[in-house]
Amino acid sequence: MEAKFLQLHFSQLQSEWATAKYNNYSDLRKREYHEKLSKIISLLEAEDISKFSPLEIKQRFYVVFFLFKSLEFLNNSTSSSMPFEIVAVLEEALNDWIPTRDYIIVTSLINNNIGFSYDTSLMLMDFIYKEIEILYGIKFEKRLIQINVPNSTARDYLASVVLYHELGHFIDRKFEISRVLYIEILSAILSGKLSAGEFNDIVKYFPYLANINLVKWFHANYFPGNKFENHIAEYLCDLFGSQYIGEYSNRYVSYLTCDEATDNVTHPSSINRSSFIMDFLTGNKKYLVEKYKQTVLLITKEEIKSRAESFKSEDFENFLPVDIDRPQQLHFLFAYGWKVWLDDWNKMRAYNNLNFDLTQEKVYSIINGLIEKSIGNFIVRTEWAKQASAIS
Amino acid sequence: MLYSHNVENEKINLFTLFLDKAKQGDAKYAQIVNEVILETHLYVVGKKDLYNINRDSINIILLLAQLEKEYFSKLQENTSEYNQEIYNKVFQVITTKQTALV
Repeated sequence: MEAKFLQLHFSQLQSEWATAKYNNYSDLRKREYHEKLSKIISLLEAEDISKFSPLEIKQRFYVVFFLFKSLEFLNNSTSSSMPFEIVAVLEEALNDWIPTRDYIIVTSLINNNIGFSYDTSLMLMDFIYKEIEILYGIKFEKRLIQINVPNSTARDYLASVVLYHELGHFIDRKFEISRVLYIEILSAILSGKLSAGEFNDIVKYFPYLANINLVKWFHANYFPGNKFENHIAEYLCDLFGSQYIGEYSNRYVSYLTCDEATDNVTHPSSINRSSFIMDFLTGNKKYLVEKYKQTVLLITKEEIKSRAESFKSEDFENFLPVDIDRPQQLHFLFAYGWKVWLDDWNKMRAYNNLNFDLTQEKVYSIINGLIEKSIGNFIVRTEWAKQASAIS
Repeated sequence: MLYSHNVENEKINLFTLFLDKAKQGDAKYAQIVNEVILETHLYVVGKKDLYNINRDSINIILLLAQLEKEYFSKLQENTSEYNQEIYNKVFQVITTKQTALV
């Protein structure tokens, strides 16, 4: 590796940093992360790249890559771009699995209006964090979880149900659950000890595993991003998300994919994805769902279970936010919002003395606004209670 | 896309970089590398399993275990005994696999 290319790479970063250094964050944790990036850049500036050995160049390549990636997401995570209400709810979900709150959820807005996704780049680069600590003595107590969100639906709480699925990808990669399921499912088939029912359940969701030669090939030839591993992960993330928002994410995805009946390299069919979730939500103790639940428990020590605390309310129909008492109820706001959206809206008309037409656009705006208000009120009340407790 | 960016491969590349530094005698990198080598040993002898081996390094551990199970089974659990010879061996195992994939 040549020093001139590292100098180019770093110059590009310095150009980016010339504006990014003025970023403003409402979240103190992001400000602290940003300060650490600033220190690393200062230390890099003090180094003489032209004297580096090839190994030293390679080390700095990854450091600059890390800095660029961090800025990519922090730049979009300033106070105005994504509702803090959505991030707050996702962090409550994250806290169920990683109570130490070591991670900061940041979002990147993209132009693809169905482009919800999760960027694993920094998550999987534990070695980069270690490299930075060794080279510069800087330790990141908090790390970034990066989720890509379509610009057009950044404030759409109904569409945001899919973000629980995306959070599931982080949990999956953090604990490497799919990697274990990959080995377990193939080993189970190759053992010859599965009952016909168990085998059929596997093949229902992974039809290509009916071919024993392919099973053997997958077993002998693991590589990241192969079809089987991708599909395992997608079912896992649907399962993860459904703990919080029930069937609504999968119903929405089914619409976005026009009830796709065939799989592709990255995703199983939408029909199979919905069926898998219903196996879980209906308490149907099918082999594959139980295998997923068992593996998650063994690795994470946490259960796959319903984690949204339901409540009975007609507040949205009365154009009122819901008074949320506990964090677990926050997740149910999404299911409630979807229930109201999917209803015929007659209650909204009947309960309110409307002097306007209740169009779909108005209902969309009302439901999103009320979900946001309900979450926001809970956050404000919780913060007030904390401050009052600290003072007294 | 201009070039392929596979995160798992980047992880292995970084681990190889750490191995290089460990081979050069840098104790800070050796400590990190030793943890992975020890986990691999514990996994192949059955003292650790898929559910509790280190999550960050799991793919590297499984790769090493698959390629050289017998070698790792014979290693000591005292990481202060790990030396240049072991780092060279692990480096050779990983880089041979990477070359084979190309």
